[in-house]
Amino acid sequence: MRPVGRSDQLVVECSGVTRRYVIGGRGSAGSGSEVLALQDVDLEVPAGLLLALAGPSGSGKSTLLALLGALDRPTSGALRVDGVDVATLGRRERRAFRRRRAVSMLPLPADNLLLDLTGRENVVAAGHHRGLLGDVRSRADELLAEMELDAFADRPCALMSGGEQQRIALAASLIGSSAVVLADEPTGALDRAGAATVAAALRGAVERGASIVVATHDPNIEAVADMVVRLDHGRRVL
Amino acid sequence: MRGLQRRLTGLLPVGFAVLLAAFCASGTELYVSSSGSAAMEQQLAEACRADSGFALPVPRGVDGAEPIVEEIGSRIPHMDPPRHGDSAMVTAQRPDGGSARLTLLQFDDLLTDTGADPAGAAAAGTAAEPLAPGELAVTATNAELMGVQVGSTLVAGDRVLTIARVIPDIATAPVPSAWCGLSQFVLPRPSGDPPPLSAVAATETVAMFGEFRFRWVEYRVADDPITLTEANDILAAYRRAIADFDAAFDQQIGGDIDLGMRHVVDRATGVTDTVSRSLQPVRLTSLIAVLVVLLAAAVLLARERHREVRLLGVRGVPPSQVARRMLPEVALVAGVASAVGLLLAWMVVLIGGPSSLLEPAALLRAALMALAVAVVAMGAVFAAVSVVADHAVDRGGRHHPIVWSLPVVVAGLVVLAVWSFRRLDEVGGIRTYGTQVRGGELLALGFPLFGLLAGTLVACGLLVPLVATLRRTGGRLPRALRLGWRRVVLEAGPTVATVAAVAMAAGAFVAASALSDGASRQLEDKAEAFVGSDLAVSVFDTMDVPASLAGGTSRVETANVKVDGTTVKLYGVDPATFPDVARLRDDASSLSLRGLMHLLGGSVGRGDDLPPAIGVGPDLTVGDVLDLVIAGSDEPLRVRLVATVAFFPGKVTGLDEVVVDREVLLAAVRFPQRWVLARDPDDGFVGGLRAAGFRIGVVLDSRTTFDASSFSGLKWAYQPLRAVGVLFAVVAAAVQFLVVAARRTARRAAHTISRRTGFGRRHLWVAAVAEALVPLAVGALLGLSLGLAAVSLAVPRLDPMPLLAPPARFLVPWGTTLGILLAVPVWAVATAALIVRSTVAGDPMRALRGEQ
Repeated sequence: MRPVGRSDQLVVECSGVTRRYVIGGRGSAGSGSEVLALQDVDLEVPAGLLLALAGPSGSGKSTLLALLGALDRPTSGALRVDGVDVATLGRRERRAFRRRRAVSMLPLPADNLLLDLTGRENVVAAGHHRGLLGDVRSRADELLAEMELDAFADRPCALMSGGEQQRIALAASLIGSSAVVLADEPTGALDRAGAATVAAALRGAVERGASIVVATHDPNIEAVADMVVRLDHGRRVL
Repeated sequence: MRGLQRRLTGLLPVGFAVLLAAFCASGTELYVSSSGSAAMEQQLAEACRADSGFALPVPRGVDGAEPIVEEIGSRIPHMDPPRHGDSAMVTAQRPDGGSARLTLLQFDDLLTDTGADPAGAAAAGTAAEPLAPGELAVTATNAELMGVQVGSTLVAGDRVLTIARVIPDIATAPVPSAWCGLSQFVLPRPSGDPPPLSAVAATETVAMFGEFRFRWVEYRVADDPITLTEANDILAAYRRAIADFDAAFDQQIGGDIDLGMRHVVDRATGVTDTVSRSLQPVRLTSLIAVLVVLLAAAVLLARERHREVRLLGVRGVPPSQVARRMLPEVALVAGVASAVGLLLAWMVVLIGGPSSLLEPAALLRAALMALAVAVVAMGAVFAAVSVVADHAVDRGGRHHPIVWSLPVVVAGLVVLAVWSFRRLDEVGGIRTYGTQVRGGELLALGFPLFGLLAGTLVACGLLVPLVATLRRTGGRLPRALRLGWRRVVLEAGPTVATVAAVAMAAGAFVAASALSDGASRQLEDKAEAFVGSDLAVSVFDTMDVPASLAGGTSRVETANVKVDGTTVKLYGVDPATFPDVARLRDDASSLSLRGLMHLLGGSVGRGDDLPPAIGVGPDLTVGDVLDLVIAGSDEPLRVRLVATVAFFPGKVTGLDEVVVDREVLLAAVRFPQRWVLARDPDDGFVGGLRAAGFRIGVVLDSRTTFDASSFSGLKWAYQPLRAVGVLFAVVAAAVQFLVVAARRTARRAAHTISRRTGFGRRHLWVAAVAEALVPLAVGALLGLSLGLAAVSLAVPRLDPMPLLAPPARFLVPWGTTLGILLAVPVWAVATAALIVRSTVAGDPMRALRGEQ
C-alpha cells in the first residue's frame, strides 16, 4: 500500500537499488573484501512526508541516504529523486543536485554548522550556498521565527547545546526550495530532551510542507514519522 | 578573535611551507650573487690592480691633452684617483764604455713599494727623498748588470745621469702593487734571462727625453669589494672611455688596450656560471620538495577545517568556492611567511655565503621569487583544498586521480633517472677549461637526485603489497610492541609515505654531503697533484736550497722530450726527499710513493744497466724500454720502465710522463725547468729563497692554484645541496605530522578504552616508539643505500677536469651516514612524544564520540 502524502508527486523512487563496496585494500594487495551494503531496495516516498528509515547498525540506512543525497552512486538499480535520475549524474551534476534539490544533514550537530557563526548567520550562509538571491536574511528570520529559534539565533553556534545546534541545522537545511531533506541520525548524539525537541522540529517542518527522510534508531522520530521503512542487512524488510 | 586565532593556527603548516619555499627560491638567487661577488673579490685580489684597471696614453704634441684624458677617465665608476706614469727609453753609455738600452720610469711609489722587507729597504735608503732631476735609482741586479754603483754616471745623448740609489730587487711573487703594471721590467723571461734594464727617475729627468717619452694616466679599481654587475659596468665604462679618447684625439687606440678587467670578469662569470648551473638540480629538487610540503600543508589545512569543508561539500558548494573562502587568510599567512623566508635567506647568505656583497638586481629577483612563492602557495592551497573538498563527501566518483597517476609518475621518474644517467655518462657534469665553463646540463647534473627519487618511489611501490602481507604478523610480540607494529602495517599508505619521505631526506642529505665533500676533496687532490706538493716554486738557479729552508723541500727538474715522435714529459725527482713532500693517492699504484722511489733509487752508476723509470700514462707498461729524444742532444736517453702508475704528483697535462731520478735527468738535459717543492712551507718561504739568491719564476700554491679558474666555483656550488636534505627532512616531518594528526581521533578513542585494561602510559610510549621507529629506520636505510649508490655512479662522471689527475673518486661520507643513523632513534622518540601527547590530551568522552 502506498502511503498518502500531501501530494501525489513522488519525491523519491528507488527500484532494485544495490550498493556494493570493496573495503580493506584495493587491487594490488588483493586483500579487499566485498560488502553488500544495499540489496535490491525498492522505495517510493511521496512529497510532504516524514519518512523514518529504521534498522540496526549496518543495515544500510546511511548508505541509502547517501545515495538519495547524491553523495554516492548505486552499483545497480534505478534511483530518482525529485524526478532526477541521480544514479547517472556526473560529479559536477551531483554537486549541483545537492545544492538545489536534496539537502543532507550529518549525524553530529556540530558538523552541520559553521561554528564561528551565529545561528542566524548559519541559516543565511546556507541560503547563499544554495544560490538564493534577494533578501535571504528576511527569509532566514521568518524560518527561525516559524521554528521558534529566534531566541538564540544570535548566539554563536559553538556556544549552543547539541539540540539547539541540530534545530538550527534543520532550519539551515530548510531554507531555499530543496525537494527533500535527508537527515542521518539527527538525534544520535543528543540526550532524550534534545532528541524530543529535534523530533518535534522535524515534524513541524513537515507540517509546513517539507519532505524529510530520516535514518534513525530513535523511537521519538519513529513516533512522529508518517512512514517507517525498515532495513536489515541491506534489504528492505518492512 | 578566538576564531581568527584558531583559523590562523591551522594555517601555520602552510606558513612554514611558504617560508621554506621562499627561503630556497630567493636564497639560490642571493647565493649565486654572493658567489659572483666572492669570485670578483678573489679575482681582483689575484690580478694586478693595474691589470684590472685602465690606462690611457697622453698623446704627444697635443696641448692640454692630459686634462682631457683625466676628464675621460673620471667618468669610469669605482676608480681610485688617477695615477700618472711617465717613461722614456734611452741608450746610455755605461762607465765601462759599453752601451745599454735603459727605460726610465716614473710612477707613484716605485721607490717605496718594492716588496722588499722594510729593514732592507730602509738600509738601502729606498724610503727616502724623491729623486732630483738627473738622478736615477736602479735595482741591485740592474746595477750589477750595468756595472754601476751609487755615484756612477751614465751618459744618454748629451745628458749625464747619476746613479743616486741602488734599491733592493723588486719582489716577484707577488709583484708589489706599484710595480705590477710594469711587471715586464721585474719578472724574468721564460728562458730565465733577466728583464730589460730600467731605472726609476724623476719626471723632470724623463722629460729630458721628450722625443722618446711615453706618458699615461692609470686608473685602478678602488679597494672596496665590487659585484659582478659593477665589474661589468666598469668594463663597459672602459670601452666608452676608449671610444671617447678616440673621438677626442682622432686616434684609434682601442686595439692597443688590453682590458685585463675582461679576464677578471670572465673568470668571475665562469665561477658564477658554475655555481648557477650546479644549483639547477637543487632548484628543481627543492621545488619538488617544497611543493610536496605545500600540498601536505594544504591537506593538513583541509583536515584542520574538515568540518567546514565537508559541510560545504555536502551542500554542493563548488570546490573553488570552498577554497576561495580560505584564500584571504592564506594570502595573509603566505605573504608574511614569504617575506620572512626572504629575510632569512638574505641573512643566511650574508652570514654564511661566500661573500656578503649582494647585487641589488639579485635582491630584486629574490624578492620577486618570494612573491612568486606566495602566489604559487595560494594556488597550491587553492588546488589542494578544491580537490579535498570535492572528494571529502562524494564517494560516487571514479577512482581518485592519484590512484592511477602514481604508477605513471613512478614510471616517468624511472625513465627520467635512466635518461639523466645516460646524459651524465655521455656529457659529464660541469667541465671547466680555465675560465670557461661548459656542460652543466640540468638533466645530467640531476642524476643523483632523480635516481634517488625514482629508486625511492620504486622501492615504496614494492613496499605497499609487502606491508599488506604483514598485517597479520606480530602476534607473538608483547602487547605494546604488537600495537605499535600493527599500527605500522595496518595502513600501507601512511607508512609508505613516511618511509618515502625519510628515504628522500636521508638520501638527499647523504648525497649532498658526498658530493659536497667530494668536490672539496677533488679540488684538494687535483691541486696537490697539479702543484706536486703544497708549494712549487720555479727557480732559475742550480744552487742548493739554504739549510734553514731545506726541511720539507725537494728539488725537481722537468723537460719535454719525445718518444717515437710523441712529446712526453720527463720528470726528475730526488728519490730520497720526494716522498717527504709529495703524496700519491692509493688508487694510483699498488706501491706506495716511497716504494716507487725505492725502485728509482740507486740507478746511477750501475754499469750498463738502463736507468729505471716510472711510466705515467695508459699506454706505458712495465718492462718497456723507451728512447727519450732530448732537444739539443745527439744521443737519446734510454730508460726501462720498472713501474707504471695511473697518475703522479706534478702531472699537469694530458701528456704521458716518465719519472726518473733527477740525477739521470740532469746528466741528459742541459736546460731543464727547475722547481723547488715544499711541504707545509712557512709564509716567508719564497722570500727566503729570493733572499738566498734564487731568481723566482712561477709560484704554485695548492691552496690557491685553482682560484683563478672557475673550478673553484665548485667548492661553493655543492654547498646548497645540503639544503635539499633538510628540505626532505621537513617533508618527512610534515608527513609524520599528517599521519599523527590523521590518526589522532582513532588513537584517542582506542586509548580511552584500552587504558581501562591496564594499558598505561609506559605501554603507550612503547607502542608509539615502535610505530614511529619502524618507518623511520626503514626509510633511513633505504635512503642511505640509494643516495650512496646514486652518488657512487655520479661522482666519477661529474669530474670537472677529467684530464687532470687524479680522477674523481667516490668515498662514503661516514660522518654524515652515522649522523643520520643516530638521528633516527632521536627523531623516533620525538615523534613518539608527539603521538603520546596528542593521544592523552583529549577528553575521553568526546574522543569516543568521534568529536576529537
